[in-house]
Amino acid sequence: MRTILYGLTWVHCSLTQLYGVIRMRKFCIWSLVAILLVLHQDNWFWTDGKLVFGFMPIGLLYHAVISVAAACLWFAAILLIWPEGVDGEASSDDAVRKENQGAAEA
Amino acid sequence: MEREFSEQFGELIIISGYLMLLLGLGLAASRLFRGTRKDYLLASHSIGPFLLLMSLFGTTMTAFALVGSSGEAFKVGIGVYGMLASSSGIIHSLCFFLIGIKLWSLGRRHGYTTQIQFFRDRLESDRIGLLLFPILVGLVIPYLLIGVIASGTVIQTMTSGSFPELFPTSNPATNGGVPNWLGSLATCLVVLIYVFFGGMRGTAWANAFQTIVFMVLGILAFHVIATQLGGEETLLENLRKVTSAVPENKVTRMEMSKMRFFTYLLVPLSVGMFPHLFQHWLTARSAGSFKLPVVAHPIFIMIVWVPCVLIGIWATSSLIPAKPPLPSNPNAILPFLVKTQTGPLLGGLLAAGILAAIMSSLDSQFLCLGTIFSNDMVTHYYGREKISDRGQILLARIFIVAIVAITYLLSLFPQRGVFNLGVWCFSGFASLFPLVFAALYWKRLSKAGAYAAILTTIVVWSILFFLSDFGANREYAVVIGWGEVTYETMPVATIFLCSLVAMIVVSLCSKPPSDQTVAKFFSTVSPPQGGLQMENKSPTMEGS
Repeated sequence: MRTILYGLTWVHCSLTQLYGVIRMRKFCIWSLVAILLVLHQDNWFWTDGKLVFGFMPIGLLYHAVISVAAACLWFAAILLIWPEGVDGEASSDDAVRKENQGAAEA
Repeated sequence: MEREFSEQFGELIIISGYLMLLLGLGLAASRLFRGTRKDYLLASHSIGPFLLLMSLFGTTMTAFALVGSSGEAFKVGIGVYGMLASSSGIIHSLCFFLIGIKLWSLGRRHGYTTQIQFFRDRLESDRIGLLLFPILVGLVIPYLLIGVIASGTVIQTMTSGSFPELFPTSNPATNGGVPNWLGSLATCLVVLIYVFFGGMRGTAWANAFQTIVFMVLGILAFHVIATQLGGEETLLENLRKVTSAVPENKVTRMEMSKMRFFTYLLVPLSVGMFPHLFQHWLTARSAGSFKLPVVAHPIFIMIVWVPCVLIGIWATSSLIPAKPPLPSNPNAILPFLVKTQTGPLLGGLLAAGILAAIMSSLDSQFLCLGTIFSNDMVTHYYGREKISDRGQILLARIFIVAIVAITYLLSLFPQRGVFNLGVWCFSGFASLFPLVFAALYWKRLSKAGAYAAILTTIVVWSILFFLSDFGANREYAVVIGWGEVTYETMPVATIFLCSLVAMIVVSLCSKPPSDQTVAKFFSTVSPPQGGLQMENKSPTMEGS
C-alpha cells in the first residue's frame, strides 16, 4: 500500500515538474518574442549614419540581424513549445475518415 | 541588325516566354487533379513544407516587395526595412505559429475550406457570414486591383521602345511599350488559366516557381546595378563607392516618426485574417509542414528586401546619371534602374521577376474569392447536398472567371487613388486580428462580442478613412496628445484598439457560447460527433 502511495506521489510530482517546465518554456519563448519586438524599435541607431564594412548602413544591418534573430527564435519555438496534439491530426483524421467510409460501405 | 532586334524586342520576348512557362506549369499541375472539390480548392491537403513555405511567402510578398520597397527606400531611406520587413519577419511567423497551425488543425477536423465557414461554426451564427463576406471581399478587391494595374505598368515600362509606331505615348519612359490595358489583360489571362485548370495545386506550384524567380532575379539585379553604378572591379568596392555617395538622411531614420514606426508593427497582423492565407494554410499535409515556413519566412524576407532597399537608397546618390532623369513616381525607380543600368536580357528577366511577385499574390486571391462566393454564398444557401462535387468545382471556376473579369474591367477605369488604399486594406484586416485570435484562444468570445468587433472596425475604419480624404492623404496619422507632447500614430492602432475593447466588453456582457461549441473548439481530442462533417452543417450550427 505504502509503495503504491509513494509511486502515485512520485508520478504526481513528476507531472507537476513537467507541467512547470512546459509553462516555463512558454514563458521564456513569449518573453523573448516581446523582447524582440522591443528591440525592433531600435531607438539607439535612429540617427546613426555609420556604414558597417563601408557599405551597410548600421540601421539596416541591425534590422537584418533582427530578421535572423526572429528566425532563430521561431526555431526555438517549434522545438520547445510546439502545440500539443496537432502532429497526429492528419493521420488520425484520415484513419477516422477511412473508418467512417468502411462503416458506410458495410 | 541582330543587336537592334534584341534591344527592341528583348524584354518583350523574355516576358512572353516567362508567361508561357507559367501557363505550362499550371497546366502540368492540372494533370494531377483528382477531380474532387477538396482537391481543386485545397490540393487534398497534400502540400509539404517546401511548397507551403514558397506559396505562403509568394502570397504575402506582393509587388510591393520588389517595386514598393525600392520606391519607399528612395523616398524615406533605410527605415522602410524596419517598418515593413523586419516587423513582418517577426509578426508573420507569429501568425503562422499561433493562428495558422490552430486553424489548420480545426479545418482538418471539421472540414472547413474558408474563414467564413470557421466563424459561422465557432460563433454559432449563420448571419456572421453575411457580415464578413462583403468586408473580406471589399478589402481584397483593391489589393487585387493594385496587382493588376501594377502588372500593366511594369510591362509597359519594360517594353518601351518595342512598338513606337503602334503604341506611341507622350511620355518617353513608356513610348512604344505594350499598353497598360494589354499588359494587364495578358497577366489576368495567364493567372486565370493556371488557376482555372490547376486550382490550388496549380497555384501552389506557380507560387513556388515564381518565388524562386523573384528571389534569384532580385539578387542578380542588385549585383548588376551595383557594378554599373560603381564602375570598380570588385563587388565590395562597388558597394562601398555607391553607398558612401548616398545622402545621410537616407542611411538613417532621421525623417521618420518614432511613434508611427512603432504603431506600424500592428499592420503585419493582417496576415492572420487574410482569407487567401487561410486557404493556403489548409493545404498543408500535416502540422509539421508549418515548421519550415515559420522559421524561414523572416530569412526570406531579408533576402528579398535588403538588396531592394539598398537599390532604393542608391537612386538618391550622386552617382546616378543626370540623363535620363529619374521618374517622378517612386514605384518606377527599380524598373527605371534596371532599364537604364542593365541590358535587355536582364531587364526582361527582372520584369519577369516583378511580374512573378505580382502574380504569386493575384492567383491566391482570385482562387480565394471564387471559393468564398461559391462555397459560402451559393452552395451554403442553396444546399450543399443539392450540388454535386463536380458542380461545386464548376461553380468555383465560374466565379473565378467572373472575379478576374470584374477586376480587369475595374482596372481600366482611372485609378489614381487605388495605390493609397493598400495600407488601408491591411489596416482593416489587422483590426480584425483580435477576432480570429479570440476565436481560437478565448472560450468566452461570444457571438455578440464578434459582431461588436466587426461593426466597430467598420465604423472606426470608415471615419478615419474619410478623415484621410479617402486615402489620398498618405501622411494621415491619428495624433495623440500626452501633456504638451503629441504623438503621431498609424490609424491601424486606433481601429485595432477600438475593435479589441468592443469585443472584450461585449463578450463579457453577453451570453457565452454553448458548452458544445466550447468543447468542439477547445478540446485537443477530436469530438466523436460534429467532427469530420465535410459537407454538412456542423451540429452546433443547428438552430442558430
